Amino acid sequence: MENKYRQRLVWVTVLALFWQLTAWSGLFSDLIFPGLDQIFLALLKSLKDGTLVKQIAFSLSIIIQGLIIAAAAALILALTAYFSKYADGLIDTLTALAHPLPGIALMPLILIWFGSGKTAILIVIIHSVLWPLILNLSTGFNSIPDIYTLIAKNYRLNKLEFMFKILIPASFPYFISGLKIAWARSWRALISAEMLFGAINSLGGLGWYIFQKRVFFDLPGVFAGIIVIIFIGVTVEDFIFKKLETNTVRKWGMLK
Amino acid sequence: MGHVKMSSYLELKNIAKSFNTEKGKKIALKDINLQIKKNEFLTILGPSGCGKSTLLKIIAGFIKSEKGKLLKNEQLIEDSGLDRIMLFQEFEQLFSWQTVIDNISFAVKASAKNKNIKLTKRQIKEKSLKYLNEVKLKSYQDYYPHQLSGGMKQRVALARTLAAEGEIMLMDEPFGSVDSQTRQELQQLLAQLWQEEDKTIIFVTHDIREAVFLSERIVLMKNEPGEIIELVDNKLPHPRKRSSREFNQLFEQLQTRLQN
Repeated sequence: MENKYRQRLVWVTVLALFWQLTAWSGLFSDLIFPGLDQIFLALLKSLKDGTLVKQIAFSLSIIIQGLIIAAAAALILALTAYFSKYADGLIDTLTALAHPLPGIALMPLILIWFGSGKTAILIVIIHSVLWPLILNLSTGFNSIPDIYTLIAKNYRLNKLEFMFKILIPASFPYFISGLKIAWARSWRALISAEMLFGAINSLGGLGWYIFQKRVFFDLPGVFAGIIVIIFIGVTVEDFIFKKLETNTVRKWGMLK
Repeated sequence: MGHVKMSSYLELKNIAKSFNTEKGKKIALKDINLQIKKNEFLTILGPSGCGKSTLLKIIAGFIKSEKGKLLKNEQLIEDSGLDRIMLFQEFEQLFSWQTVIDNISFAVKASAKNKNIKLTKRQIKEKSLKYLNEVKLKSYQDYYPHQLSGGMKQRVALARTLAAEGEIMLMDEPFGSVDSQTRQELQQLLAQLWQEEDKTIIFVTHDIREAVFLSERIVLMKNEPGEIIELVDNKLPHPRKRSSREFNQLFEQLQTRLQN
C-alpha cells in the first residue's frame, strides 16, 4: 500500500518535470502550454479570492445530494424487485432501457423540461447513478447464500428484520462496488452537465469554472480547474471509499 | 443424562417426497414413519442421496412433504419455527458482518421476541455470553467469524443454535467440514452439552462412528428410494470410548446393515 503511493509520487514528479521542461523549452506558446508555475499561481489566486472554493462547494453539494437521493431510490427499488416478481419485471425492463443511455444524451430534453440550473444537473446525476446502483444491489440481493433465507425462516424474522439484519449487510460488497461505479459516473456527468447548463448568479460548479476560463483563454485557470477535479476524484476513490471498505467489508472478511 | 419420556413427542407419519430431475421423477423419501422421544439424541444415518437431509429439512419446515404429516405433541406442524432450530454444515451460516457475540445475540433476541419477552441490552449480552461460554469461546466474543478456524466457527454456530432456546435441535452434518481431530472435539462437546441440557437432538450424518459416539438411537436409511431400514438402540454408557470393544462391535454391526 505504502509502496503504491511512493511509486505514484515518483511518477507524478517525473511527469511534472517533463511538463515543466516542455513549457520552458519554448516549443509551444505559453498561451496554450502554460508552465506549472503559472498553473499553480492561477490555482492559488482562485483559491484565495474564494471563487474556486465556492464552485467546489457547489459541485460537491450537488453530487452529494444526487448520490443520496439515487442511493435511497435504488435501495427501495432493488428491495421491491427482490420481494415482488412483478416489480422485478418492471424494474428490470426500466434498467435495461435506461442503463445504456448516457446522461449527456438526455441533456437537451432536460433543458427543455426543467430549464437549466440545479434541478437539471441533479436529474442528470441521478440518472447516471440510479441504474448501475440498482443493477449492483439486485445482483447482491440475489447472490446471498440460500442458507440465509433458511435462517430467516427458522428464526422467524419478518420482512423488515430480514432486510436490515441479513439482506442488506450480506450484499454490502455489491453495494460498495455499485457506489464506486456511481461515484465515477456521477462525477463525469456533473462536470459535463455544469458546462452545458451554465451558472445562476455566477455559481455553476467546477465544470462551469473551466468552461468560463476557456472563454477568456485563461489556460492556467483551465488547468487549475482540471487539477482540482483530479484531486477530488483521487481523494474520494483512495480515501473515502478505502475507508468505507476498511471499516466494513474488509473488517468482515468479505473482501480480501 | 437427559430425561427421556417414553411417549411419542415428535411424530412423522407417512412422509414422502420426490424431486423432478432431468431423468424424470426421483423419489427422495418413501413412506417415512418415525417416532421421536422427548430429549433423546437421535441420529439419522445413511449413504449420500438417501434423503436424510431432505427429511431433516421437512422436520425444520423448510420444505413441504408431498404426503404424510408431522406432529409435535399431537399437534400438526406445517411451518418452520424457533422450536426446531437447524445447525448447518456450512461455515457461512454465521453472519460475517457481526462479531461472535452479536451472532449469538441475534438468536437471543429472536427467541425473546418469539416468547414475547422484553430483554434489556445487558440481559441480552449476559445471555449471549452464557451460551458462548458453553462452547468455551468466551474470550473470542469480539472476533469476526473470518478470524476463526472452521472448528471455532461451528462452535459459535452451535452456541447460536443453543441461544435460540428451542426444544429441538436439528443438525445437518454440522461437523462435516472440519478435520478429524477437531471433529472429535466437537463431538465430545456436543455429547456433553446434550447430557447437561434437556434437548431433543436430531442429527444427520453418514459417519457411522459419529452416530455411535453421539446418539441414543440410530435410524438407518438406504437410498433409491430413501427409506428407513432399521432403528437401532445405542445403550453404550457415557463417556463413550471410541477404542472400546462395544463401540467397535456396534460400528461393525451398523456397517454390515448399511452394506446390505
